[in-house]
Amino acid sequence: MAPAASAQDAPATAASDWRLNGFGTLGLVDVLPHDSWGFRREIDQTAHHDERVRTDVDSRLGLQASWRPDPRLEFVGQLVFKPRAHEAASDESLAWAFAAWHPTPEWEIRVGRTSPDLFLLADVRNVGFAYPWMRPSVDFYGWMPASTLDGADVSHQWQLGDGRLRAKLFAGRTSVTLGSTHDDGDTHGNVRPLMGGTLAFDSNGITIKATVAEAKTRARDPAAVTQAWTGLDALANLPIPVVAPQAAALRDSFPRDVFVTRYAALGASWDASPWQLQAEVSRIAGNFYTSQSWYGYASAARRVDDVTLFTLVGRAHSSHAPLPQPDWAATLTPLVGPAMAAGAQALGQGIASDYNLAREDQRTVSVGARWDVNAQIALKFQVDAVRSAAFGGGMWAYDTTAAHRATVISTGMDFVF
Amino acid sequence: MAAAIRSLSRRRGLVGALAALCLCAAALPARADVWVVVPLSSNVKAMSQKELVDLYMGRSRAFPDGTFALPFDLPRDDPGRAAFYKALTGMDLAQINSYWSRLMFSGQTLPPQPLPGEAAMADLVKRNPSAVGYLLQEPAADKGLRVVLVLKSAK
Repeated sequence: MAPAASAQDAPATAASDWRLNGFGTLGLVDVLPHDSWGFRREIDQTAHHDERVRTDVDSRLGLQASWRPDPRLEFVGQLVFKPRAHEAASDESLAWAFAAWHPTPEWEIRVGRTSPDLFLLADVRNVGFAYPWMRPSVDFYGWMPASTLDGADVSHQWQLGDGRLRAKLFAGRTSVTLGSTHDDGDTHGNVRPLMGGTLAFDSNGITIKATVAEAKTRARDPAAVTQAWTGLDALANLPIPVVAPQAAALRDSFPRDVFVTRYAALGASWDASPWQLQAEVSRIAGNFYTSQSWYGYASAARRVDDVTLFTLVGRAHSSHAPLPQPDWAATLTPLVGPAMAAGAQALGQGIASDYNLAREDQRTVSVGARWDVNAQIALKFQVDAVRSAAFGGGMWAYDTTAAHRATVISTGMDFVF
Repeated sequence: MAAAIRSLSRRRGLVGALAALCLCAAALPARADVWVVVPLSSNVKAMSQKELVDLYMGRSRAFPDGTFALPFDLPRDDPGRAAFYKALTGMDLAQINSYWSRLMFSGQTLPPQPLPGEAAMADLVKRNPSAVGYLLQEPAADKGLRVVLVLKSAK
């Protein structure tokens, strides 16, 4: 009788489910030509010139601890170590720290630090073992500033025939330090709030995901932004040909206080072994020019035994034309004096340069291979042909407004444990 | 001549034996490799392969009757685990690990809890009404387990 009684009294869970797992990438990147431009896969990376083989582009290490005391409850913490902007806060390495509660099998509520679930691969950009390429499309994912979300999300899933529909709402705040691209200091972004929703359907290896979200950001020094906007507004209202319309164009390229970004994305993947097909397109809009862009990519991969061959094409395109470089000093000096004229000139040039250097007009074609050495290690090789149009190299560090072509040769080892 | 007849006779015997063996093999049920088990205390009487895929690939947290499910697994590199997932999904362990790294490290859900081996699997499943596990050998009738699905070996 005793064993039977013991079985009846057994808890609903097994022994406490503690786990420590990890992932990482050791990557080497050589960018040709060896010049002063600096390749980046994410805009929160440190800036380097492409003058030698680099290890900082793809290398990273992640550690994850999780605890599931009950099928209804999970706690997850994840640290990601990778080269970041010089002024990045130490807590930016904390990628996940949340509690998830499932009141029923269909509902999930998560509270803590999660990720803004914007795109198909938004949550696994750091986990090279999870995808065939060396890195997700830089044209699509590289610009994405928000990688963590301090807040909460709620999701529910329904069974629809052979498939599942999942709806998710999320809200919170995030902060991120964007790496300096021209030795002019890192950029600190405090996004509050970031909110949105996703709708995902998957059936028989096909996943379709749609996302909408909105983020509001304040610059670290909002007074300086407002001052610049007010100065340009004053110039735009002067009855001076050339200067007034140029100043108005520059003023309209950014808001006087709160920066608003709106995201809309549609992605699909089809895992039909041995083929893997995937494509995403996103439209980013907002009240400042650098936020107004189209992004897209498509990928096809085919697995042959332990080797996966793949190709990937990406495209990034800013919606607005480059801003005119003002030449106001000669016109303004007789009217407002040399000091104010020089100040206006510097302001106009600075605003125009900031946008023109951040503007994206780039396409990339990649081919490569992944070899699964065993169930936990993969070796990869990839070649990217990157073509940036004039005023289109915003993903690069130390870029100029000139057109640029580069060949990125990458190899690396991804692992999980 | 006698040698030739003896040789033909031996060949006929061999062919006949092979034919008989083939007939016997065809008459036997296909070899079953993986037994999916729940405790006798579970309400689950049978499962389809798709329902099991949903549980072991993180797509569902519940049995078909809506109650929470607690799937158990073998260690990450265990040959039995490889056989199970190959039979269940057709994928090898590298593909399964890549798939699960996408879900686990993106905070979506945790993979089934790994146990040290089949003995631990049988023991834990037997004692847990929410559990589901798998064994590479058919469990004895007195083990307190109910077989809800038999996965055939993958070709």
